[in-house]
Amino acid sequence: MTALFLLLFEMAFAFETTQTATGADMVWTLVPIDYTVNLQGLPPELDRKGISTAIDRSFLAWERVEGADVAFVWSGDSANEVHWDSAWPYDPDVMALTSTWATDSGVLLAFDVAINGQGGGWTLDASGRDLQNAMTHEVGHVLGLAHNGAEPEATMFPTTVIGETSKRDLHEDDEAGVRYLYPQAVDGVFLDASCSSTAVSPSALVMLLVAGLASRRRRSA
Amino acid sequence: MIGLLLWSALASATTFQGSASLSELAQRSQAVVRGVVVETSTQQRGRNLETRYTIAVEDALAGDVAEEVSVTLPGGHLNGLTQRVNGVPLWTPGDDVIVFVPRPGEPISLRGIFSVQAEQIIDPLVHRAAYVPLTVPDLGALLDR
Repeated sequence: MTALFLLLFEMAFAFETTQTATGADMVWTLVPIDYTVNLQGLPPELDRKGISTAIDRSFLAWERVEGADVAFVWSGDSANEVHWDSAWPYDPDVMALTSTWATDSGVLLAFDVAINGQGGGWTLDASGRDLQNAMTHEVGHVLGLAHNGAEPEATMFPTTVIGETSKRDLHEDDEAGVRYLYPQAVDGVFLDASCSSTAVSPSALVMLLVAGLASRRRRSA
Repeated sequence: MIGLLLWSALASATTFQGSASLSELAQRSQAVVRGVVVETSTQQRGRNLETRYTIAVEDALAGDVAEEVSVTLPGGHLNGLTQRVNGVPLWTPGDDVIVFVPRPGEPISLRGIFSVQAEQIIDPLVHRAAYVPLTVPDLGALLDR
């Protein structure tokens, strides 16, 4: 009955989830999720410390959701990277792009957030393209949320305007989405099937680890 | 009508700012085509996957193209692993799509890729019809067809 209530409750929200090619919701099954930040190529005029802080705060926004079991931890050797892309290959008005890798059953294995380093105009406040505003949106993708085109106030709404900082703070739709994907255990019991652990294909893991190491070597070369 | 379409173009983005309209995007493209995905091929580059979609052209909404066009998009599905790049669709053979085909040597615009369902253009960035419904005839009119 409680599970049914939660299901009906969540259905009232407009959040969307990211799915694998096989149609499974993409979800991390191991927390905390580690990540690292690579600011190579960052223009010298930008405040490195301020940018790192803004990125850390964007992860923290999702950790603070009550009723959701989400945690991140910074790790220098993580394969999950937020990086500054000064050779941006996509549309110049795309501010950032998140990739996630998952098994057919939806178990998330890795992520990559690329920040458009060519567009310029990044700021740490409302005077330009607020980095924390954009990064909080991207961390939603890291967690398996897709764009929410129905709620313009949501962090997961797909567009922004210069000077916007409101996406730093999650909307109730965003919070409902992360609670749906990462329900907190009540008395040791999960109330949603999406949190059941699933075996990870060893071949998929090997493929990802090898590729991740190759990528790391290229970047540090 | 054009104002509505401009709004829908603005809406189709991964944290976009000040996006160009669809008509401006069309002017920068070799062609705008509607067709059916007939073949997909996914390759691994480093840890990234990319998928080449071959599309049998059924209708050229703008420009002239051959009977088939191919576009390569980031992400895909290979060996039990899916890479999703948010806002980029994963198409399968049989999907009805609209693509703004880039000029030779130019990268594809992530805003110029759409699915079509019952003549309704589905924006993969928002996983549903645009806020203001955009139909294939609407797009044709926008492109002065």
